[in-house]
Amino acid sequence: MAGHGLQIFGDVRLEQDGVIRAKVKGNVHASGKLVVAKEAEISGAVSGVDIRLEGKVDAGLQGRGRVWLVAQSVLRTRCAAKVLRIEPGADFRGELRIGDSLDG
Amino acid sequence: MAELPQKIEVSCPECGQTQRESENFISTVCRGCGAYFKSSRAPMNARKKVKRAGIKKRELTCADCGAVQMVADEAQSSSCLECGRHLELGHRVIDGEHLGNLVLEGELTIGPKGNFGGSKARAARIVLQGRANGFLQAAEWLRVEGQAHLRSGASGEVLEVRPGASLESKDTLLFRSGQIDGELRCRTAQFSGPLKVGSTGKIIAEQIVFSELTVDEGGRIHSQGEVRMAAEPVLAQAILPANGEITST
Repeated sequence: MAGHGLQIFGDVRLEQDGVIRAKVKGNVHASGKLVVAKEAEISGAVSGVDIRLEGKVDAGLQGRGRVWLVAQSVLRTRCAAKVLRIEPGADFRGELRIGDSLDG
Repeated sequence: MAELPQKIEVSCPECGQTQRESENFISTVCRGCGAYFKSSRAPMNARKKVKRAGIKKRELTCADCGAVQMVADEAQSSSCLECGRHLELGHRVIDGEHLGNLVLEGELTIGPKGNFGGSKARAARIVLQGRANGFLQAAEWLRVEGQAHLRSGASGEVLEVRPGASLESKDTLLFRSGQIDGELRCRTAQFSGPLKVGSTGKIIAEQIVFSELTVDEGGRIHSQGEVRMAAEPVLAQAILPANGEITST
């Protein structure tokens, strides 16, 4: 359980669908669907299948399925996905690679 | 017993709606739009008035000063009542080389073998199937339907690249919104509003700027991207239940 005030130093691996609410000094990898909640701050990269970003990710995000950046979310460096939705009010700056084969 | 007058069907010269009236009617009011009109069997002078009232008009906005006036639907040109600018209202098709600037209130079509060689063309709607060396400005929309090339960029309200079509632009594209279902190659494309890439769409650019972006499955983008322009916050709704497990490694 990762809630308010929790900081994780190191990479995080989720074996199933999950929600990150912590500050993570490292990368986050999810085998399934992932929500990066609005209080979450991740200094590394995030990867998963379907990813919903409400918080902040510094080093890029790679979804093998759908990626959704909601309003107030912050993403830097890179965004790769099969299907993408960036809502008005989201803050993104970086490389966009959408629709490429991301399975390999 | 006297026979009742028969009913006939008449149509309103203003809105075209049909209604039934007594065959002896002299004048009536349209039940659709409320316009008053007379029977075609009315005296000659009255008939003339009915004909004049039937002239269809439309709203025309001056591209220079923005003043609005009413002009006859069939008019091919007019002058702005505010600034005096000559307004060409018709449509234009360029099938060969066109030199010189163009300002149209109607639709400009640059055909597959057409090339706009002037420095600037402005029209309400532009269909681009060929080439343009000059800058294109589309007040309503710029629609790419063929294998099109732009040398000096374009601006306007909506950019549409149809399925199977491609647009290659050597200069900046500035639009309010975009619907990309074909291929778009450019250096910079800026959309102050939403950009949508359909399942057959593809964007290859150095940079794209937008306020919101939707890419359907099958759509492709290779570019640097940036969100600009603040928008109203949208309530977040989770796409999955919060039942995950986290392990630190």
